[in-house]
Amino acid sequence: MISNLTNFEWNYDHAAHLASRCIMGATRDEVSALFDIGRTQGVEAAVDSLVGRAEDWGDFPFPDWWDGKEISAGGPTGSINDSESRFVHWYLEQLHVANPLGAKMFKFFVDHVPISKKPLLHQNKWIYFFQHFDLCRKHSLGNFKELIHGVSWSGGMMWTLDLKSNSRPRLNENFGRELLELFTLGVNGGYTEEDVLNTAKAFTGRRTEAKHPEDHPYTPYLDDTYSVKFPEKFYLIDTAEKTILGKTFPKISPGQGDVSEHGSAVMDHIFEQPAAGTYLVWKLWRYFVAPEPPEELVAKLGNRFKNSYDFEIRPLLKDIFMSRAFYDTKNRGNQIKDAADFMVSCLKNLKVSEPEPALTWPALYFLGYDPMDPPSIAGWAEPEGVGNSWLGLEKALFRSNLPSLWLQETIGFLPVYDDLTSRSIRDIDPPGDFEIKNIIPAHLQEPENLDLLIDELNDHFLPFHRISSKQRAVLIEGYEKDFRQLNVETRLRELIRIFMALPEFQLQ
Amino acid sequence: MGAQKESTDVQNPPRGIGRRSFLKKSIAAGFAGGGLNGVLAPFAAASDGDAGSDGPILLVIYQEGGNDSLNTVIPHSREDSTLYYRDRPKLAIREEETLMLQDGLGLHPSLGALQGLWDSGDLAIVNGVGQPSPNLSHFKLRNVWASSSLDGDTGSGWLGRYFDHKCSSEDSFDPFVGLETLTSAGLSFRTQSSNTAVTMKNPDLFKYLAANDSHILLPEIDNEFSEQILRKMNDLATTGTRPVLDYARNSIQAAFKSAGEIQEFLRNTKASFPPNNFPNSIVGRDLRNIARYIDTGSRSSVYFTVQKGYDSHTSQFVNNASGRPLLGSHANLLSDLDSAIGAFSTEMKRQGKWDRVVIMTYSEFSRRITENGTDGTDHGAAGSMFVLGGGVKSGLYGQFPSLSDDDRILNNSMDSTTDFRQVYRTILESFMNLSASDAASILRIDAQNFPNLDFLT
Repeated sequence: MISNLTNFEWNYDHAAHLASRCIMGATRDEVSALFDIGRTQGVEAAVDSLVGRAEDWGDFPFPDWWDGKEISAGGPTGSINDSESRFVHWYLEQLHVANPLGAKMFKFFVDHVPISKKPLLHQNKWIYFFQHFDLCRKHSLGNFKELIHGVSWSGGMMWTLDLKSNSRPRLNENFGRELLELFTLGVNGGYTEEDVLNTAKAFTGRRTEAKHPEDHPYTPYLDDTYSVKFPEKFYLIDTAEKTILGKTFPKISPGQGDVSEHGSAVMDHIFEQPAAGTYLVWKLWRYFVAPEPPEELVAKLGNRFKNSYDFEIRPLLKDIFMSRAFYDTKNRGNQIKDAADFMVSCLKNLKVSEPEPALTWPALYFLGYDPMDPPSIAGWAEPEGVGNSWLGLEKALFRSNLPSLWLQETIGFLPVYDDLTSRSIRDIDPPGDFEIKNIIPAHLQEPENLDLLIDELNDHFLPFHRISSKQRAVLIEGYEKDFRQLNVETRLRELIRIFMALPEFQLQ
Repeated sequence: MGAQKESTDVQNPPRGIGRRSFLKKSIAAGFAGGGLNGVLAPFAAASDGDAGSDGPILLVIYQEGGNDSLNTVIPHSREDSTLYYRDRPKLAIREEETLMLQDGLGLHPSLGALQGLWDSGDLAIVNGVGQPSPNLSHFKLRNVWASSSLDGDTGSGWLGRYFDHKCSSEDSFDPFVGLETLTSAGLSFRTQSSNTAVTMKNPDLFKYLAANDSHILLPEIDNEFSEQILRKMNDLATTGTRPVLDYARNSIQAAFKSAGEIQEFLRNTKASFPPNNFPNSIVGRDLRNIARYIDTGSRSSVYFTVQKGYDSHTSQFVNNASGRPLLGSHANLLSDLDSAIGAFSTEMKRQGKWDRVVIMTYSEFSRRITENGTDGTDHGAAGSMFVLGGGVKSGLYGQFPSLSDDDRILNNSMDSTTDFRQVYRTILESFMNLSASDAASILRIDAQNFPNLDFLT
């Protein structure tokens, strides 16, 4: 039995915690709505309103240049860098406005099975990236096992982990190791170096295929339909008998049916291991709840995830968000927002849309998140409690400055790195769609309502925290004295900038 | 810019004397013992014995991804060297191309500057460095090295615990105790005290914008009101309720405190720093920046940087016309590192500080003795480390691992002969002047079992 939160206990703080972890940049209105559902219909209904919500990825189709055809022809999308900005913008828009829990899980899987642009220097990059991200979003609230099966055929992953060049005569362990260590079982998941070796052998022979279309003689990786094929070539496969995780897979002979079943059968066996359940639960707990997951609960949930839910994500998330442990007071407001959480928090709190692609990309980049370039195959930093690497000193300053993009309409803090983009950022206009009246009602802008104004800003930007009376006094003194030479609009914008630079705004 | 420019408000001093004394005050308030003695020097030394005056300067370079040690320090003519050539038919560096050292070992031909430092008696090579029962995971081993614990505990790093030791009280924590040229804070620098040393890749980014700040790049700070309000609010906040919140607050406060110094530094040094032969690469620029910080009397006693790209599963080399495996990704990385270290050592000598510097390189693991099928090498275990500096006792330390088939571990990996924590201990004790027991406590070891390797004078 797993102890669940009861309807009787449900309160506003529970709703705030649930919202802050499931909805990037959760607003006061979203917390209130969640609280009301729980109050009138029960905790399960509140959780279902997040977990059960229909997917809406169809609202975010691939742009028409996704196949790379126009880029290779020097078409309207311009430079490759510009296309990368557009890709990141396409991704951020989904994190911002798609089904919130789906978006949160989409981001989780982009991190869990990350692919890198670095080995993908040709035009197929776009096909591979869109297909891989599509796989991640399709299974965001879908099935973990199906996702990993898909990943082993994802062109982006086949290039990132050298799977496309792994063969019997030319063995390369890269994919085999990370499949076990990072994607399914975890570093303590009970596999040996022999298992790594034999898993690598089992995944020999997969190839991304290239044809020379007659009308594109210089685009050797694209066929005429711009689709990507993955033929499995028998002569490249290690056909010998091999033992992996205690199970012996017999020698393969020609004429034994679809040879692609070879790696797939091994994959199915990997998912028979208890660690295949517990590892993802452990990681999800760290992502959604706290850096040190309770072992006993992870074991129980992992067992259910594997044996009862057959790796379906939705029922697992429901169990997590219903559990009493999720709502433990020590877990609340105790997680540093990652780069995307923070970016979406800015957008939702300021009620603005994503900045144009040329700004979105460097903004996320300097927050530490280039979605096409993970720091390693382990993805980006995970929540680690104290010492969280999302908030080193340079990043802390950058986060303090990011709201200036809208509030001061400046891009001056977004420097050009010569290895980042060839386009001059000086030619780009800041977003300019922020309006003070969307945040602060007109009557609160009057000087005599300063106290009320500060309350309003406090509740709006820090719904889980109240500044102290001493801090309030500093703010009032600064507003009335230091800001006196600024015009009213600038004063109000500076107040907002201050709230968004407070440490409490970094947490969720 | 604008309205505030002519203000003489005490909280918004104009540039010049007033502004400078304001800056001094904020530095002194943050750092105990801040004896600036009326002279404004960015990064001015806080007290005697710190790096800014005459203390030790440690530069750690992490070769991320698993450096192929066997093609870095090469056993070209040892008893078991035939096995090196047998198992690396494509990848072996030929004997005549190897830069000779001694005892049948040599350096990769890309490491010319390091050979020069060997010849001048400034390079120690520690061989067979690893840990008991190694795992071949990048991520586990990366944490093992950073935390100095075999379980890869991510709670704190070995250098972070050194910072805690050096800044013994919460109030005296100086962010400039260490500086890492990374974009994300690394585990090695993570303290136990929820304090934060400086993590800074690009000093140009390192400032908080003022109100009305709308210039494109590096606007002059002419209105610090919002920053002062924020700093006061953070100073007044209740601490000790949530460690993560304390960390976030410390991080933001430390960032604000150090930003002023960094910006002052940029204004004072940008044009004056002499050009030097640093390679125009990421590690070259990072080492050049570090040399600039040191030049201005930085208080930091520890610098940390990363050179990425060593995970050479494929295409570790590209055959050139003569079939020599000298070109390719691994040779390029080593050449880049070699040029950067060479330029850095030249610059330290020019500054008269080479005797106070130790450079240490490490990688999370080495690679297999045997090459793989895709012109690369898979994950291995023990490897060699470089320690350089004016005070280093040149020579070979640690036994070079046997390559014989019987002595290999984990599918053709080299076994370790020296524990990585011995290297750490030697540096903390013999260079950073810690007692053996303090070093052992920081490294979480029993000093008796991890003897000092004695590669420092």
